[in-house]
Amino acid sequence: MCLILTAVAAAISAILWFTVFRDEKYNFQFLTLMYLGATLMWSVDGIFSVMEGEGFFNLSLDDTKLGVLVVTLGLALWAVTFVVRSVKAKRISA
Amino acid sequence: MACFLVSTVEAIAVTAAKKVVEKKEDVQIADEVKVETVHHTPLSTKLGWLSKMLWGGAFLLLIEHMWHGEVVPYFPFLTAMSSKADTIEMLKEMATVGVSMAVLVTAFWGLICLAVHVKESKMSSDSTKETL
Repeated sequence: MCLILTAVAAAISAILWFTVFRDEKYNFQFLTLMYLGATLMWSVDGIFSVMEGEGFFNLSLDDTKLGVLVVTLGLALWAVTFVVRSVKAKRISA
Repeated sequence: MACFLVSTVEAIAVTAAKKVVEKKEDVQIADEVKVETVHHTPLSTKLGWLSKMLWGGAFLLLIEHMWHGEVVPYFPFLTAMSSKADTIEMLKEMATVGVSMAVLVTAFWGLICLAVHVKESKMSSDSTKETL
């Protein structure tokens, strides 16, 4: 479920980046690429799980909670970078 | 166990390479007074995409490993380092899963760069035709 939630988050942020938040100041590129990178990495984890006889997706409640936490912390990291970039841009323009 | 460390090491190398390329590109821009009609994405920007994918992915995987208790906030930080057998298992996982992760992310980045290059080449040939 963590993989699915991260993939969905990557898709949503990519759509928002290409449609609404195209301006570089929003830094949506970072959010999308971060989720995309994690999705690819967990896909490899899934492939190795299949090779070991387990399922590609882990649909347990524990993994769902982890997925929510991961997406939230990804958003939090993006928010921090967004604020830092905004403050820097204001300082340069001032 | 610690598969995200491989991506982290690659992220450090890519970030360093990006800095070097950025400096070279700045020198080139200063040396050449060039008017380009078509925009080409600089290599430093492309390396920036890879760096964001690797750092971001590694950060989210670090959270997953902390969730599973494989990474702890005290020495030696990785629970697999507590015994020799676990350490060997961890190194094996890094060599297989970790390297595969880094290779897949880099290959995907390569595809993105290829798509961008094809699009820019098409735009360049279109604008040349318009000029003629």
